[in-house]
Amino acid sequence: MLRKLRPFQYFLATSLSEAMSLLARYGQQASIMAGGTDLLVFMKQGVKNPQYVIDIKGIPNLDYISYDDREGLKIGPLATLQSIVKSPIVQERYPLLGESAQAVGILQVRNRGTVTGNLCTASPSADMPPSLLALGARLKLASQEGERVVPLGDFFAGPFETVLSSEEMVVEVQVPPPLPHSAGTYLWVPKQTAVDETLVGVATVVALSSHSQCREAHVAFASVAPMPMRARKAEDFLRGQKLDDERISQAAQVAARETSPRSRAEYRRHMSQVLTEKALHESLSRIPW
Amino acid sequence: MEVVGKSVPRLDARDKVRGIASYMEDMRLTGMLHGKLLRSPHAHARILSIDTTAAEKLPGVRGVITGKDFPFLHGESFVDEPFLAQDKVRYAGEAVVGVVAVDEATAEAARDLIQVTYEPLPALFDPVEAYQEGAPLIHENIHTYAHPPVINPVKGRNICNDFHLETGDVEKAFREADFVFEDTYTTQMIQHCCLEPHIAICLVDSEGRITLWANNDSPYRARKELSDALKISMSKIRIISPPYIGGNFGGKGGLKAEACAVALAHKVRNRPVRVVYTREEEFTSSLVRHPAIIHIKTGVKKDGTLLARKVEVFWATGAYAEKGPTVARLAGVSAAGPYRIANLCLDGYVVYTNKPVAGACRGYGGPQLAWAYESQMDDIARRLSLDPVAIRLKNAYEEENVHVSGQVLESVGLKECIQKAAEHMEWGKRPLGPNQGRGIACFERGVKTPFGSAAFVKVNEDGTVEVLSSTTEVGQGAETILCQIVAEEMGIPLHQVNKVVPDTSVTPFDTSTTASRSTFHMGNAVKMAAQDAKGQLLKMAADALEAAVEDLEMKDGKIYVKGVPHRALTIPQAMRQRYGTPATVLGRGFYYPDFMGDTDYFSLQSVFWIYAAQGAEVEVDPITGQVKVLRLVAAHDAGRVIHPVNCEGQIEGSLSMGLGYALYEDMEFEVGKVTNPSFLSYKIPSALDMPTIEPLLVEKAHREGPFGAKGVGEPGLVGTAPAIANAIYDAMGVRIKDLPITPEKILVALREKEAAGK
Repeated sequence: MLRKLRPFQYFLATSLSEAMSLLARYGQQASIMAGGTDLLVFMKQGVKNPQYVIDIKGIPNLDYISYDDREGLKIGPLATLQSIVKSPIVQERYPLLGESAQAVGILQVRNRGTVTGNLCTASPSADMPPSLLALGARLKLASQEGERVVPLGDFFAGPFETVLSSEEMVVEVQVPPPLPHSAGTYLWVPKQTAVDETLVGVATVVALSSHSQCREAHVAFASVAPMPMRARKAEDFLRGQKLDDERISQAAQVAARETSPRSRAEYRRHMSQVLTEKALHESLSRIPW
Repeated sequence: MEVVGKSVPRLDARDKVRGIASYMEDMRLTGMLHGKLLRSPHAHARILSIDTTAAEKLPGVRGVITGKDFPFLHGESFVDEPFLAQDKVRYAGEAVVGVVAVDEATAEAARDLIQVTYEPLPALFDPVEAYQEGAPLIHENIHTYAHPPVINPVKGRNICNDFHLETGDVEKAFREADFVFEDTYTTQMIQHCCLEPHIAICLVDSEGRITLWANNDSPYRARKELSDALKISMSKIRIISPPYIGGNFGGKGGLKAEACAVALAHKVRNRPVRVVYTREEEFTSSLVRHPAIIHIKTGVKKDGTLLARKVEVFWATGAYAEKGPTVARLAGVSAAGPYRIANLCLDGYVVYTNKPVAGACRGYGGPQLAWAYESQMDDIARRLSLDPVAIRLKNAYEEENVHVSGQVLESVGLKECIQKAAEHMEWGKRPLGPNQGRGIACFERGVKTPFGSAAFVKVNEDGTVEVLSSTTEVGQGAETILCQIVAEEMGIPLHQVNKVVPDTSVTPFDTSTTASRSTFHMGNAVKMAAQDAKGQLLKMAADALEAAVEDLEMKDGKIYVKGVPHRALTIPQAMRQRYGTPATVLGRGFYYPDFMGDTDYFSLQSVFWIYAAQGAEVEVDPITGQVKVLRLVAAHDAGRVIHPVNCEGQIEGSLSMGLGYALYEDMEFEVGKVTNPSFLSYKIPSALDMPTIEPLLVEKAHREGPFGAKGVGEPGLVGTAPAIANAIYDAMGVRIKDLPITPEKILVALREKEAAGK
């Protein structure tokens, strides 16, 4: 850990095109900074040593959280975690996103840190990915060369690694409209204290085709594998089934077996099961029918 | 009383809340250079070669220094620690090479250019392994290290102190006991986690005179350690404290950043050199609490009378002794708990390991031992179908009992503490919810004895007063308390009293700001100095007031003839009587316990004993194993309280550290290297983790304490973990013997209990 940051050149971008042209010029040597709550820590630790820091906070109108019934939710790259917690539309349509955002750090960090940053850091224990994965979110990536949209599940390339090229940045998070008769939940436990990294985080989204008949179920985890992950087998186990206590309990066991935690493995698996079961029940109870 | 016993606003409060209080971090000196240390990546290795050529050539570098250039050893009670590694390294994180440069970045860059080749040696991490005969030696020349007579190192072994204390005949008593309990308890390594890291600035002039600015807790103790190490006279060393120190808890004693800065400043004369520890260095290279392995065996009668106790402790002291030898002594004498037990056998082995250096940490070994004896005490109570409170009251020390140290006890508020804590928790009365439990733990704690404290009280020309005392303000509130005592004693308003920041060239001798000793020892010293100053002032006023000195009193900063409120002199007027001009008056005080112990260095007897009982209420989630502490109650006998709110604050702070010790904190290692040296992965409780804390003050006035006060800085940490563990036992019927109490351990214990029940 350094006491002071190593010297670097700082750019305050005033438009996306400026940010992208700086990225095109400096590529590998540059880091995009939004809230900086992860980047500056990495720089102090010496884990990241960018020669160029491109601050995008000065770009106007990128902190939007917008929704329409056809396109769903769109989150701008400067929308803070706390703005997600406070957003009425998130609270109404995607409460699990607010629960995920609420799980990050403390208020001061949430006021500064962004949803996009939480994704781009690609920490295995990040709280935003499980909920966004379970909701089927996609990311719009852009560079001077053009834009592409990738499903969030394809965005992570490894622990703290993404598929972003050195010239690309995330310009939008897109979440499809909720399925009819669906609801989701994010539950998590900290490693130790109340303000701590997430030991296990679970997001579940359940959609019903009829009363207690499962049309679609998504289960996604944080901190139990090298990358945020979906529990596909558990999802298959639930899809099309009647969601009684027994089925949910077994699905939680299936989900826990899909995890591959490294440290505190036994406890993490145990908690994966406990939280999945609880989250599925909670999601079910939230579905207006 | 006017000021004593009242919760006046703390004198440092205004500056601290406005962010203008000054700490070491704020200090800058003209021409100041910056030092960085290259530290060992190996737990135990021989240094084969050091190549500093590239570092020395880097522009901006002013000096590079290795152990060969500065071959001195230091240590308070066992002189074994080099300023920079000599020939070999004994823990990962040990300073090997120092670099001085014009700024920190240059020093860091130069440090990274230094090449050291090592030959790894077999490393010892487990104190029981290191204790064995034939184990590889961490210090080959243990018999050559200087130490006071009470420290008992073992030649040819990794044991820097073998502490033994025995009374009665334990083996015979075990045979006569109705029940014998035998358990092993273990505790983890934790760090003090002061918000302010260790910082030192050192200037060595061309004559070799040393000036050291440091956030050391005890400037005089540090000066002695330096003077002994470098064999230079004390008059050539000046140590100056900053106005405020951001946390201590025992971690700011000894020489840490100080040792680095002193070594570096000898390389670069006449320029101040500043060394600031990073958080990582705080964890790896400053000081930690001893992990301990404690075997405890207790014989009891059916009625709960404790007959005999044998306690054997392995203190893993890390690579250097630091305060380990005296931790084992001070904690060792209380190893069996605050109970009347006729037959005792107490052993403590202070064992070197290839890990960070362990030393003083709030409670000085007490938390480790209370973890064992207070946990086992509940097992005994349950087995005998006795109430945990009742069995403690039955065996607890009382006034005039003879302590294991041979001392006849006085000012013993232990039973009152137990009763008060139990009553407050509605022990045995208010039923708890499912998976909830209640626990209690009590303990005693001695203070390092016999050690002195001196103070001057200087009366200024205008009648205001300065207190010259070397007690440091580390957040504990000593500044306010000492000024309260002086204001009370002299009859002057508190706002006219100011405490001078410690400086060995200005403020007089004090042993240390440690061991919960300052209110008692320095409190006595400033009280005596205030009396002396007041006596001089009364004498000066006597003639003018046409009254005998005995008929005068001081009130509101004036000298009155008793019962005649209109006949008064101000302090400047009184001084004018004597000198014809406003002048100065100096009162002197020196307190040294009038005391017959077994030694003048860490006697087993203590000038006062602090007693306390703590309760916890918890709720355990049987599915996740998570423990929620609902409530902590702490009844402390701190003697007469000088400042109630501050006293409660000390208890609350201790309890929060105790909560971290019980549930969260744990330094983790891979082959001797700390893997979680940051607050991201090493967690201390935050406000969100804190339960309701209810401090209760039991005021058993001490005959010799200033206004009857004792001390309260440390003890809150001692009983917190066992009280929580006992509450968990009460809730779930499982006993955790290994700190910290993690959800995993609880789940395993619950599973084992279930399996045993089948």
